[in-house]
Amino acid sequence: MNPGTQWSAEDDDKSLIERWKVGDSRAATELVRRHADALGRFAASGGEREEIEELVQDTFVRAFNSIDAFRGESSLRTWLFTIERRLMLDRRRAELRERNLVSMEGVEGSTTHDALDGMVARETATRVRRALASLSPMQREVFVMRVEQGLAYAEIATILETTEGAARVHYHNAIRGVKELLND
Amino acid sequence: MTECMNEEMRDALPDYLNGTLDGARTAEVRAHVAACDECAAELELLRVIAASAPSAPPMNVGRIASAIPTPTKHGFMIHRGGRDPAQSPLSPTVVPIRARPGIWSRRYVKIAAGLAVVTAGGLSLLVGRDVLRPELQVGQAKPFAGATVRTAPSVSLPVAPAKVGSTREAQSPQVASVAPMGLSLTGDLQELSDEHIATLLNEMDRMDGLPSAEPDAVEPVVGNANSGGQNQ
Repeated sequence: MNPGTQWSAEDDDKSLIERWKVGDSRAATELVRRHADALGRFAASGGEREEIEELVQDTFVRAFNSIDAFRGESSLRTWLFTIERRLMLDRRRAELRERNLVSMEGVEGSTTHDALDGMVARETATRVRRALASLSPMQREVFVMRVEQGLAYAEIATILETTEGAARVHYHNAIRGVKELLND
Repeated sequence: MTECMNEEMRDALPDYLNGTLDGARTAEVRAHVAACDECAAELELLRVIAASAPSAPPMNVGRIASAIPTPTKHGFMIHRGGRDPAQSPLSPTVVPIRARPGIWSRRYVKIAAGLAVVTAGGLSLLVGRDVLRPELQVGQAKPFAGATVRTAPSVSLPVAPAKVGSTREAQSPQVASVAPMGLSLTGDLQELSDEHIATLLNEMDRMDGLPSAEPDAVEPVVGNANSGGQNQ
């Protein structure tokens, strides 16, 4: 393939991985182009505020260094989310050790990055984020993946290493909790 | 805020919000939301939550891709860049990765190779000893043309005329032949007839330097010490 050639939709992630394995670095670039933004949003939704691009880069590097571990049972993006989530947990543990912070929930609850315009909208977003921060970590992760990332229960179960049924229960408990908190 | 009792529709609301449903399913959910106040309210809440999600900065695809290693033929990966292209070295850095275990490092391959060597060595020994050639076994050996066993270079033994016309010799004329250098035997002794063997033995008895008979046996006499050491 020529350097200027665009990858077609038929070139699925698996075929790009195979091309990368035989030395085609442009296949890796195409995979980054396809998934980097989603990984960035995933990191932001998970509470990451700084060096998100570095986190995404580390995710890709780790993924490609252990690409043989990807068996294709899930989508590549789901597998990347799994790796990124572990990196996020490692990063937070390191931060907690270094700064001796009170808790991860406190950090997340105190930050509000909204994209809405206007005071009312920002106030609503602040209340929503605080409501989410009050959920249990598992409920919050499932809820964010389901609503903000649009992941299916099967994908969420893979990333969180749980079952689809458990993910569904966590989601419904989460939205019930958010409603109650917003109605208070 | 009350909840709709149709959990299937409620489960589909996030997918409807993110546009991941197919056309038919999308129309189905849209119709349900239009008729269900609870689901309409929940969908609006989900929309607010999704809109309040923190935004991520734009990703620099080229910079991220520059850090991805590239596999080589030798099992190494070349680190094509770092976090910042301006700080990356001009020459690529070769970073060894966890090498894949070679086929010869696998235990069962080693065992199989060892067995193959042992088997090949054993077969070569058996072939060298003609063990695997049943036609060369004792009693079944065929005359081997060209293989001449000379009993003694300086001894010439005439072959008895009686055996020349024997049937056995007619079938295998190379069994015994008179060679210019002396009596020659070709093939196996098993090929010789009894008459032939008797003739050969008689000729050998007449040869000089050969004993005509077995030496007399010497029987030791165990004497008594009291008899003065005389042997009887």
